[in-house]
Amino acid sequence: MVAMDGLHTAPTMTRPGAHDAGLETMALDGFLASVERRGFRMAELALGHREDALDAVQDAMVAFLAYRERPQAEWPALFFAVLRSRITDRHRRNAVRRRVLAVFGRHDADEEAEDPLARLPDPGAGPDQADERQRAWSALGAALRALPRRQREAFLLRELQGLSVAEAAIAMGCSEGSIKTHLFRAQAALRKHLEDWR
Amino acid sequence: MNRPDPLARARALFEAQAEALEPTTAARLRAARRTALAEAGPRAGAAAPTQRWGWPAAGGLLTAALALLLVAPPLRLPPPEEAAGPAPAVPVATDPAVLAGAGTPPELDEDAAFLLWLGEAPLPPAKPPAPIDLGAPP
Repeated sequence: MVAMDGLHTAPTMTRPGAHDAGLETMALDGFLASVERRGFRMAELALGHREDALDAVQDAMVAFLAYRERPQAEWPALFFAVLRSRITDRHRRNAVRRRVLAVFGRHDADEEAEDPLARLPDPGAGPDQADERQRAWSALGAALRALPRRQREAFLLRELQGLSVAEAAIAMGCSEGSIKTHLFRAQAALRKHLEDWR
Repeated sequence: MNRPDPLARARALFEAQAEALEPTTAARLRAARRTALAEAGPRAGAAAPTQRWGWPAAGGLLTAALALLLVAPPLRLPPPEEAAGPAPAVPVATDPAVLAGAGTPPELDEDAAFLLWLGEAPLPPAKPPAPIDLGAPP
């Protein structure tokens, strides 16, 4: 299981009183800072589009803040529940857009419109290493997007985000048994898809 | 050679990618977080998600109450006959002299002879109604 260093350190902060807005804002800022990168990567894997992923994370942050009164221990599950919902919304919206554009025989230019500067590799890695990592990342995204939606969500939340089965069940709005089933199937499918990684 | 499990590699890759975010993307995420917190700031501690639904609900109730006030008074009014109150009393003659015709106006007395004659005059024989001419069949 992946250690969730960033994710699980933030909720250990003491919950501020409702009247102490400054401390609460700090706690929220710390929590969102701890999940924003992982949330973005999850959205990027699921959507396959950087701009859509950024928008989904921003929407999720705004929507999550409606649940700020809930205990901090629930924040990770709530945040990823909101993010999952935003990702699903964007999936549907993109599917409709593609269908409409297909009717008119046009390409979705937005799919290709990526900021080249944003694709600069991590300066710490060598060019070959960065290139290989980018290829592996694309392959992982393609394999995940080939999965059924619920299997993909279970894998992203449980395996990559490191949520517990109970937290993943809350985030997906289903039973823990369903999470285990979806996860098992997703793992089997991904092992098959990513066989050449061995 | 024992190669790593693809899923373990996927997890390691995810961790590495989450750490090594492009500077522009990291900056945009920071900006998004601050924007979200700034937008949510004025509501801090003021309204729980359930309380936020209170305003639309209160507005709806107020609108319904106003509509009820506008609609209810006409519904509560009695029908027009009742609204006009009891019908004006028609003078009914109770005086025996009036009932005996003593008070009959003279113009009615003049007509009495004509009416008497009209009642006794023989009626002309009734003619059967003329058959309707439908014309020749086509």
